[in-house]
Amino acid sequence: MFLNKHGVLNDTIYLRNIFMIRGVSVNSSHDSMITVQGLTKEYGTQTALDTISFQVRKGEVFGFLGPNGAGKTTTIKAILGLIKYKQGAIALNGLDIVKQGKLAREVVGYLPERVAMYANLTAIQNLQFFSELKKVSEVDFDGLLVEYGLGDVGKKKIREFSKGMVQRLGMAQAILGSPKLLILDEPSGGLDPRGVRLIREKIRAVKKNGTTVFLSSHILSEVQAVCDRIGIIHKGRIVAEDSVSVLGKKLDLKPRITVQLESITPAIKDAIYAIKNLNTIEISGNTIEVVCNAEQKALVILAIAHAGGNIINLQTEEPSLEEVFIRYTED
Amino acid sequence: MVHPIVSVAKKEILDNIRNFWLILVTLIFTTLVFFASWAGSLNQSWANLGILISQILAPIVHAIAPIIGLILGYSCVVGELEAGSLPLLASHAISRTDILFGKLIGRGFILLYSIVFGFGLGVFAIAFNVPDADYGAYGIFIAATILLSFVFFCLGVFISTLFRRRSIAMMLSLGVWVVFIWIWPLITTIMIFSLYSSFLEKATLSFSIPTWFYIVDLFSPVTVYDRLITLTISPNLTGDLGAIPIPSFYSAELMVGLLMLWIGSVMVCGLFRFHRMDI
Ligand SMILES: Nc1ncnc2c1ncn2[C@@H]1O[C@H](COP(=O)(O)OP(=O)(O)OP(=O)(O)O)[C@@H](O)[C@H]1O
Ligand SMILES: [Mg+2]
Repeated sequence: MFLNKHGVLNDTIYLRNIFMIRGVSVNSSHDSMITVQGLTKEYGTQTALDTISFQVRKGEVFGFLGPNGAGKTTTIKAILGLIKYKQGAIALNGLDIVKQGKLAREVVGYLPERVAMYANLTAIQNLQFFSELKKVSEVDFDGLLVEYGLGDVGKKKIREFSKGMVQRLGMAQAILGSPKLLILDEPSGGLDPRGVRLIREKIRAVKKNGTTVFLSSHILSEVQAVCDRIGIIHKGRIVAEDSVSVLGKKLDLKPRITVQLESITPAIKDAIYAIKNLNTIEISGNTIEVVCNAEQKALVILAIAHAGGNIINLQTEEPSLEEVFIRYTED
Repeated sequence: MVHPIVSVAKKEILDNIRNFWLILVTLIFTTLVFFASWAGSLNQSWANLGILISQILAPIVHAIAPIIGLILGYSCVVGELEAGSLPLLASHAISRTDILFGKLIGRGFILLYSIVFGFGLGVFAIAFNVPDADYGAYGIFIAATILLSFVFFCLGVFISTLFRRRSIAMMLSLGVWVVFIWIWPLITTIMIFSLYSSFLEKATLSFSIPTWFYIVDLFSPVTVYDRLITLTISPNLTGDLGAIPIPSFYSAELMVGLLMLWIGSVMVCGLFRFHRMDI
């Protein structure tokens, strides 16, 4: 067991690798792909990141959420060694990103938020250039372009591409050479519904191959569908880091049931209000909405039936990521 | 496996080879040599290639060569930063030094190509217009011009690491050009005049320029280039810089060394800045 710089107990049995990066001891266990510790980044007088710490484990899909301007892109750029910071340390695949950046980045495939490619080069020339940098040879560029819906524009210059087309090419580039770590900064930005689905399928596919994915996104349904764990950043601080269900439990979020009746009689109302410990009760028209825990669900239905209510429709909503997000990013 | 420097250099060439301004400046070089040698052939005293170069070509080329250097340099880093492709490039297994050297080599090649191609075509004009031309002198002239343009190329690259906006880098590059082509010669001329008038007041018989002036004068790489041309191509021609005599410590080696020093030190500054940049 070890205490890190911030006095936090690290009792993971995987702990192997404690090393000092510029005065900060970083506990990068061998199952950790990204370790960020005490990272602070200032732009002039503004603090964009305020001593943030979190870990992304090997093989997991990590969702990185936060309101606009929270610091997601800044965090990603720091992880890649693109920006300089005074405080904190980052280990990428167990390597110090500041001192061993070139080596550490060998595992990375990256899709930037505002992806741009070389405007005077064609799509294929761009892919050729990046495949050279990634040291992958014998790529079937035409096949790759078809896969990303760019089959007939391989010889077109990027300056003639639409935003979504560049985004697709950016995704093809990021996955090129099957990187061990895929960092996606809002990959669905500017994409049509098919493109959004393509991205989701690609994330699922690379996950099967054991690729670690770091996904920053505002599309919560997408995050909920593919992510194992999420981190939420708010005003430059990490406010949550766990799986969606655990975070939901921590917030004591409960399911919401909506019951539609033929008509609501005073007897039914009385029966509902008689149930103890219901969180919220909203009655409007012929609909009753109740927020309760799982055990109380049956009680609510029974009470309605007992009071002579005729149920037409019944809906149950589990606590959603949206609610988790909203609650954690409240001021 | 291809080294990342080579990949970046190749990409830079592909991305910049069709630069409109470069093609224009290359054509200007050729046209210049053609007209100068043709005009010279009309007047017998210009038929000497040394005179043609030092009196006609060099004063024009010393203003144009810095322009192509700056055009290729100023957008080198900031251009890609503003276009947005730099973060993607730098996210690969490549160091900042690799990126900058790749760019320097790629763009440096284009610079070299433009000058050699532009003046190379000029050889035909000379062969046609100048009898008994000394092509060695022409070769030295091209080499000196390459050195001068590389000084400004590296200055441009350094400027391109100072700003996040391309337009600002362009304005500063323009400023640098104005300073070295117009302002600095003006300052040195004023210096000479004030020195001369103070001598007149003292009613001294012979006017000699103090050594410090010759040192200060060499601050500008454009001046260094002019002296290099005078020293190598037309030493027997006038033996002086117009009204100003050449001091004994001036030599072609010193001039070449100074130009190299400019290239090296500005390149180091650019590298230093680029390593500390947020991209
Ligand atoms: N180059 C920069 N110079 C100054 N401030 C910056 C710079 N880049 C980012 N910031 C500031 O840092 C903060 C975090 O920005 P960042 O781009 O990381 O947000 P984000 O979480 O990615 O937002 P979004 O969801 O809109 O993409 C913002 O307040 C932003 O204004
Ligand atoms: Mg962002």
